[in-house]
Amino acid sequence: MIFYIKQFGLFATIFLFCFMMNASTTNAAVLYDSSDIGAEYDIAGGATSGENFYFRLPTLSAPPSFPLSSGFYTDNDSIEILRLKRISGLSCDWSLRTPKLIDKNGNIPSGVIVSSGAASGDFCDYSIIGNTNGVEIAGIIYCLNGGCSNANGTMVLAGSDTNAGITVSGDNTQFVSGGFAFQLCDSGGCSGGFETVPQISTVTRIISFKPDNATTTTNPPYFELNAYINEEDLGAIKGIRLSFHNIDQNVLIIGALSPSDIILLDEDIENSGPFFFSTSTVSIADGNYRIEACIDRTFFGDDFGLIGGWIVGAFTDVDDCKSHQFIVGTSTFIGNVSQNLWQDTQDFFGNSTATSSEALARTCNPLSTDFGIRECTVFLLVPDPLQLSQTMTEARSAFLSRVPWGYFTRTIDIMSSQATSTLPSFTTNIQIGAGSDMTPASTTLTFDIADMVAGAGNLVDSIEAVGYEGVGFRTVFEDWIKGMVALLVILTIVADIAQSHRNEMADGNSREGKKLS
Amino acid sequence: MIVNLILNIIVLFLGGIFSWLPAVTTLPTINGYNIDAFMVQGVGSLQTLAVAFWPLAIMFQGFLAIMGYFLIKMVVKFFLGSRAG
Repeated sequence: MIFYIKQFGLFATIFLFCFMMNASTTNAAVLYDSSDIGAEYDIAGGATSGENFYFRLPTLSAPPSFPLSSGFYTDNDSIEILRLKRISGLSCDWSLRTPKLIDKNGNIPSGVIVSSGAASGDFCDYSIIGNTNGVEIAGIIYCLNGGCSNANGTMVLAGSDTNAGITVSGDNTQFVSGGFAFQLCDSGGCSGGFETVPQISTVTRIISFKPDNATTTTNPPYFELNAYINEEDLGAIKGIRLSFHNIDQNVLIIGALSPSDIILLDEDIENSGPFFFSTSTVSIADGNYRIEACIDRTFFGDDFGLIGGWIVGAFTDVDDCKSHQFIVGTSTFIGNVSQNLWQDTQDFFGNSTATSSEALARTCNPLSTDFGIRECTVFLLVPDPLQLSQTMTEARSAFLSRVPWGYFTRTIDIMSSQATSTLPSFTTNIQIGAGSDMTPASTTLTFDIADMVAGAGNLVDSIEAVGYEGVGFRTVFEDWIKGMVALLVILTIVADIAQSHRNEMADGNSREGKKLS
Repeated sequence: MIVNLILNIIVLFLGGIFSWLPAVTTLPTINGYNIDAFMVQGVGSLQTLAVAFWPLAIMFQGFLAIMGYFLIKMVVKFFLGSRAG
């Protein structure tokens, strides 16, 4: 199942979670404080009739799952007050609308009731009735009426994406980091807190994606994408993509016709704000992979989409593509070579302090502190590998897949594919013992080629060096075999080039001879 | 960036010229023989063998590298003709 995080404003209700990360006691009356502010949370945004606004407490992972093993607050005193900071919308004291506390099992603690709120300046203070001593409080849910269905208005609370935990929508499908600010206080009342903190940068960008760079993971790997879309960039953004491809067989010389990317996510961007995607259901073979996260930009409009976007993309402020390598299971020789070549190229030609095409462009600005002639020359003349990759992808779809060279492309696709087929098995009848023409053979013998080859592979892998525990045949000979194959490839290519050159010289001499005669 | 821009313009230009050609999704069927299915089955079988017996995987990767070289050579000769050498 793939989970999406959409723009926060579409959520029916907002709901905040996770206490322990930001636990702080500002004074003796405040028992728990998670009150960073600087952003607004409309807990009724996008609400429609019949929609369930009941929000479970989110865990540090999405989706939430109960019971929680951590991330909750165990009350040792009696919590008397829950404080929220209201910005606009419905008032605090509407009786049909009260927040509720949730314990680590996702249940409302028995006997604990949150009464209707009372305004205290910009704050809404809700009295908590019942004994909370020993209750393991994991979060807050907020319905806008008693039945947690339908919205009778909007209510905007102050909060921050820096508050610990995540906020989950009522249907348990949408998640954003942080949430509305709150304090839990004893009978001494709430005070302090609710201080504005710098929000996470709102520049449109790819924030992070997983698997992380140069990590080795098991199959199936966990893929994740975090991005942010600035509202002002919505008109220039077409979509967001997360894809990966194998770099073991995608050697540079056949890079243009290499196997297609496996696309995990490719959808249009319609809303601004934080963007989140994750999946762990894609099973792939062992090897080296390059994962790429891109924000695609438009130039001429949707009809031209990517074709126009990448022409001018390098000169915008949008840091549109990022990529790195990861390994599933065991890495491969060719994969490591191609990855190391790419990394060396980046290290040699790239500006070590530049993290985007915009930063590189500043190296050509003589008034900028980043100005450098070398870096500027590299930026202008050395082709960007990621842009090259996009160009080749466009070339592939634009004309390399058309008749007649499309047949070559298709051939390369088939030959570079990692899909497997079932090998045939053969069954024959044999006669054991004396037989006759009247008695057909009754014993069958089956040859399963796949099983036989697998058995041979297991046999080879089981061979261990004498006196060296754990050092198998593969450990000793794999690099030798790879080296021999690579050497054969290189010699074949060199021999073909030398033969072609010899043929050219022979043709040239014969033409010279004809001219002279 | 300049090189990227030039390459992008070339790709855009060629894409526009050849956009009228039909796209190839599968290899053709000749005299009743589905070449695409044969190749998919054949390569898939090789992949099965490569997964089961790891030296085959290494040899197959080398084979692909050589095939890539000859393919590029063929393309270069096609475009450059006798000047390709």
